[in-house]
Amino acid sequence: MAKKVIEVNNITKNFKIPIERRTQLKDYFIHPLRKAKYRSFVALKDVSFSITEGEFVGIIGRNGSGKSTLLKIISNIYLPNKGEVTVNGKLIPFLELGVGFNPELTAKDNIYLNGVILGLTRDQIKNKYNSIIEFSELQGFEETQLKNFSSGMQVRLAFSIAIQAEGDIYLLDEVLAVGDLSFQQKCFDMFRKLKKDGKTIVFVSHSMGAIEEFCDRVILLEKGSIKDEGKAFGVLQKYNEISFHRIEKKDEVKSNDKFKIKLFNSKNEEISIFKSSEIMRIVLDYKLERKIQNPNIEFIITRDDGTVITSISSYNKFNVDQLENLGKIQFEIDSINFISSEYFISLVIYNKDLTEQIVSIERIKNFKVFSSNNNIKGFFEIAGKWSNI
Amino acid sequence: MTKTDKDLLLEFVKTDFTLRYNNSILGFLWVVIKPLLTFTVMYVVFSLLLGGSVKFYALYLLLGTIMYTFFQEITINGLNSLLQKKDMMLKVNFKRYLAVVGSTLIAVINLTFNLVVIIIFFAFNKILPSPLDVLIFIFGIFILYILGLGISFFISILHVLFRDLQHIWDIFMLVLFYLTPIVYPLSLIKGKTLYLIDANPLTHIFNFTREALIYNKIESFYSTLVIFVLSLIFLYISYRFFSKKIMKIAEDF
Repeated sequence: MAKKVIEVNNITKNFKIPIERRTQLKDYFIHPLRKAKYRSFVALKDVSFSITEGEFVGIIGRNGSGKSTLLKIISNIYLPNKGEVTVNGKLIPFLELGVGFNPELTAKDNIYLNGVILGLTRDQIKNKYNSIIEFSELQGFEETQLKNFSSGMQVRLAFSIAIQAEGDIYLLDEVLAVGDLSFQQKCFDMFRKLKKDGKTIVFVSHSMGAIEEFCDRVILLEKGSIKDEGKAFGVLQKYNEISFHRIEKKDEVKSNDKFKIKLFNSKNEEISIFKSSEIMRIVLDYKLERKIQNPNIEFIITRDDGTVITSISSYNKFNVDQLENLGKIQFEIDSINFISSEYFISLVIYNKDLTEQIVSIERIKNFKVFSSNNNIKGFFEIAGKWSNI
Repeated sequence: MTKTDKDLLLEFVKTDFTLRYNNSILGFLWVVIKPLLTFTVMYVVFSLLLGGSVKFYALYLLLGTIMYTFFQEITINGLNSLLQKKDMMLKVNFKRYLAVVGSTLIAVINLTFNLVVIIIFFAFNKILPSPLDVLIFIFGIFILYILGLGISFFISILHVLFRDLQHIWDIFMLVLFYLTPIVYPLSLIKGKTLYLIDANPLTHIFNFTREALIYNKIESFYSTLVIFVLSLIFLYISYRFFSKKIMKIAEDF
């Protein structure tokens, strides 16, 4: 049996949030008898799991679900109120890149400072100094103060030092949130190498693509407790449901008309995460108390930032006499070859001549796509074939 | 202390030092200039007041000022040591006491620069302290460091919880300055004030060190020895307090 390197037993963490802040001695002189008031906030509730050597475990959850607190407790920065954590092996936390970086110091000084903070000795840094400079592409800037670097250069430098750290267990907290595409590619390469070397990695991210690609196991946190645990695909499905549940509530339709969109794959399973090139059936499920004559139905697919990827309209393509009572209409996409990301479907129903919007529901449904091909620029992959002629 | 811890401490000290003196025109000369200026002001004012009642008054005052600056720097650096590195502490788990020790070591470095000034003044007054006197001086400085470090462990934690401690400490250090025989000789104090000054451990350490170095006399030997032992015990207690509290205050940063 593989060695357990991290064991988390029944961790509970409360934060006291002061209603009346008391950080000054003065306050105690002014109101010596009044007790400070606190509101307790439960960040983690009875969390237990263990991680074996060489595992790549992802932790996902919405903002405020306790992911970062959990990493800080494993890194021994916060003490839990209850429970305990055992770590076997040298643990390197990357809760942030470039910890201790000082803008007034030169690149060289910062390399040494950041290096020792990551647990390297000065001799080790000396030996690796050239490769750090080379990897960060900062030759000739070694004696330049960090404040004169662009943020991109700073991130590059921080990352170049980080990859030199030597440990058995790595905690990575949204390191990928910064940097451009080529930088993210470098991060992925580092992950692959760490994984190949048999290191244990705990990875917190919102990047579903990365979670799906790397993690052997995923833990889903929701409101401080573990909601689901297992293989990436299933847990991500669950995560998506939780996230979407929230969105659905927000955009409730006020009239008595009910519209629902369900997504199915080729096996007729209702899912919300698709692999690119999979079949996707968009099913509009309605329940009406009125009649809509000669409607034109349109699904608009957008990205999170609102960019419209495409729209699917029934106008001139498919004739619907009327929508009445209960019913279903579907559109089948042969292969949903979008790039890896999260997408939203908005529903619009027009009258016959497209002059009036009868129904408009924004972001009625969301879904995610994973693409194995990360080299595509733009939004989607065009279907086609290469050949010699 | 492992090799990694030692290197981390070294980098902390190096960083502090570079940041403090790299960007000023006079560089680390400020380390020497600051106590010298304090000394000059004090000398002008108090040599008029006290007249010629102290032999080698300039030397007496200079030594006192530099020793007091040393003690003051240890505690003020120690006070701020944790808050200064709070960003680091919320991201990485290094041994926290290194932050405190590192900040106090800056004061030791500054003192060594000031030693040069002291040596020049001694040469100017044609005084050559005996090896024993020098040893006593080093011992005195060592006690001051132990005491200062003990206080630092204690107040660095308190400063995280009470952010206005900085102002209180500044005032306290000003009061302590006048409760220590630096500008005036101990022989000039009479009545109840003497009790107060006598209760100040710095009085004994300063008296012991200064009398030996300037006048080649042994004074306040036993009281200093007692203070040394008490300082060691205090350092142990405050370090225990620090180790116990440091993890609990992480979320108060």
